Amino acid sequence: MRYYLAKRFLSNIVALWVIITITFFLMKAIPGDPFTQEKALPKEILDSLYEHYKLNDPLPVQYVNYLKSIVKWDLGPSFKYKARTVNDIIRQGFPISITLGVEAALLAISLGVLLGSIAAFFQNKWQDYGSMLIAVIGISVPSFILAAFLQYIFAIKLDLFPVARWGTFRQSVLPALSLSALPMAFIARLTRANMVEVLSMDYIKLARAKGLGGKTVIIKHAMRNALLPVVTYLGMIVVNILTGSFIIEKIFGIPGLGQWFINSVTNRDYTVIMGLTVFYSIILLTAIFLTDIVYGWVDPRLKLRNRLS
Amino acid sequence: MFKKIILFGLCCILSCCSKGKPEEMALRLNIFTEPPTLDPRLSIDITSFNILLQLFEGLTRMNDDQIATLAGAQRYELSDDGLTYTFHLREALWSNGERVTVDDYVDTWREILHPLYPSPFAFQLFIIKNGKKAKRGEVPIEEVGIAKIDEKTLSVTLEHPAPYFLEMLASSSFYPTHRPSVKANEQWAAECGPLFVSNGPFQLTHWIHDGEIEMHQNPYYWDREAVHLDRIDLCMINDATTEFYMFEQGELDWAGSPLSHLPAEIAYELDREGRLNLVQSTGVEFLQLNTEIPPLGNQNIRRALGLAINRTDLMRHVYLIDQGVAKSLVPPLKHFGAPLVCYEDHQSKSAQDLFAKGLKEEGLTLETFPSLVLSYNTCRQHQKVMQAIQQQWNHLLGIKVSLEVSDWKAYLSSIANQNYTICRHGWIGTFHDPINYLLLFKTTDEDSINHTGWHSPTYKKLLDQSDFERDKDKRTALLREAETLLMEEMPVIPLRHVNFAYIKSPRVKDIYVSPLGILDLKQAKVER
Repeated sequence: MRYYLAKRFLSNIVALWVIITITFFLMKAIPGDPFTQEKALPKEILDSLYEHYKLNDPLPVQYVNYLKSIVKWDLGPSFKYKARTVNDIIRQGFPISITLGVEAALLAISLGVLLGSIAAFFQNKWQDYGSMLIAVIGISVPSFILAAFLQYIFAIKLDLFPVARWGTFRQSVLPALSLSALPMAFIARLTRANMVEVLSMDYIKLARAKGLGGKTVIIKHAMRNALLPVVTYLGMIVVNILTGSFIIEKIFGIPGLGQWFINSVTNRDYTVIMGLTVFYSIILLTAIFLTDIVYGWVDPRLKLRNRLS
Repeated sequence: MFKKIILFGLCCILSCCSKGKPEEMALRLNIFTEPPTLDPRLSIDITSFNILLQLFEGLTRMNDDQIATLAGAQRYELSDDGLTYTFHLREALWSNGERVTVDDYVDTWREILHPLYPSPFAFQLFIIKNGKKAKRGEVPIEEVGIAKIDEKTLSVTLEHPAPYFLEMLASSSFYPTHRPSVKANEQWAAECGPLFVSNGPFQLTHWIHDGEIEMHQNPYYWDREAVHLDRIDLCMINDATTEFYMFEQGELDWAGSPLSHLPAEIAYELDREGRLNLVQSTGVEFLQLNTEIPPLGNQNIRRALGLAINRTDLMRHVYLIDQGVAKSLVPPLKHFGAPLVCYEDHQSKSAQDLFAKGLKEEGLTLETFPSLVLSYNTCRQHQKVMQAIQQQWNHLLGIKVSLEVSDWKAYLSSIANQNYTICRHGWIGTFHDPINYLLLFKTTDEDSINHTGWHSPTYKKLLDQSDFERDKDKRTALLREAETLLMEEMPVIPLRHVNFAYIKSPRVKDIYVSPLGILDLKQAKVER
């Protein structure tokens, strides 16, 4: 196991380096730079800006310097937002994104599992069709449409929640709901499919034959096995929710990190693009890494297979 | 029991949301994005300008009649050659109670012009004698035409007479900065704190990056009597529809231009309900033609394209709200009379005749006429406008036009490399003077926005003459002659003179919307 972990860790470091390198050179290759604007700046001003931000150095030198500063976790100043460094931006935006993300993930998992289980338990009855209809809607309606819809109904028409902004629990309800719809639907379908399979297994029949009630069978026996694939999916949920929050953050005026990810590319804010890419890559690689470990821990069959091989 | 707990919880949640009545007179606005900077020396964008105008003040300030009036300066003298201004400072205080000194102005401006100081808008100060040379490092900073005469007097010498200089002084590049704060920390403007000292009607009291800004009345401001608001709350909602919803819910006092924009469909509805406010801006939208691409080198073909566009139709079906039909480049500017009428909108007959003539001159027929490419940057409205023009040209002149879209920065860099055929462009003046627009096409230098390849010695000469013409009427005549020439040659096709559309709460009074895109809140009131 220890060998396996070390191997995975090293491969993650290599993956990170590859991501950094590709992003760095792609970013420099796209046309336009942080100071490109409608009326181009006079040469003497561009010179002084390039000099100040060290953009005059040859590309390989810039690249090596950037790698060095990443090792020190100094992600540099934003080119557009003069008062801010990338470290600041992450320190301020990430807790907000993660709060929203966790809220959405909890909603997605609890509702998804509930809907999926109901559907499986009442297979081919109206409860099943109802749940799956919700799931299909969740998968096919894009989150920004759902967000606009929720905002219009619950904030404008019914005045139950604030239209936008961030800070209180009430302000987080609509964005979390919009963000959770897709993963929730996915989890519901996944849970249903597995639950149906598990419910037809011999050990469930045995449990029933022993005279156990429906609820006990589902919760104690079926759920554990049916949820395994959902655990695998958890890493993906974190990834989706964190990177998918851009449009939701925009619509609800939430000062999270998602907005920066897109805007930095539009602004060609080099340091912010790189900093966020590195930061997100680390989060995502870690999430996938942890999922693998958790999975091995939850499913004894995997450990056994490892031992046998 | 369980139900009771849930009920109690619900009550708690709902009671949290009842909003407390504000006791202060507060104005609530959305500024759309985090201001890129609140350091006047580094500002170059409209969001920063708007906040800085409430916090700072230069030697002059624009009044609601768009005239520069004295603010930081109490009086000034202008030398006979129109080159040297001598300003006598008013007894004014910073928001921490310290006196505003001549050094606060002089040192700030010198810093901006220093070759190593990264001020993107420094070219505003190139009008000052040796300003450009100092930035290039060709002369020492002391040789720039800025001088401290005594503790209360400073003088500024210009490169050439500029009747608009007093107006330029009102813009943020010319604001003073509090020297002790700057010396204490070069990043003094990065956060709200004791170092953030300003000299305008308001002072910064709270700033959550990417979230909100709060300003309170500055108790040390010299013209405190004129300031009515106790507080200004700014939020940063990056979505125009959400902003409008918040306005409708009573969470904002203003929605739309110049800080943000109203989505076209919403503006249209508001206009029909009679709730929309429109105000003339100094913005102009136009097409640039790359005259180095063969058929566009022909003046008749360029003119044909310009005259064939039906701008009135564009207003009615695409912009949806009233916008100025542009019959010349320079938009209406206060104190400069009505804009020129260089051509009439949608002259189908003349357009077709000119086009036929142009084809003949180029030895082309309609069949051999190359397909034109109209480029624009990603934006729903631009797309609709370009599609409409594509159709109008095709319909009237029978030519094939294709559309090409790219993201903003990539778009700008392809234009800068003259890698386009016809492109869309917008421009909003930084001061009320036609020169602001005409200068754009004076040269084809890298730093102009003229990427048409078009240049004319006569045009250049007229503008140079206007620089040294002291008589206002004669100067205006020269500028108009230049504009007529530009429109005659038509390397640019003006489309519209932009109107700002906004909606505001009826409680809000006396907010002055400058055509330059800046809100002055100094005298604003909110009725309780």
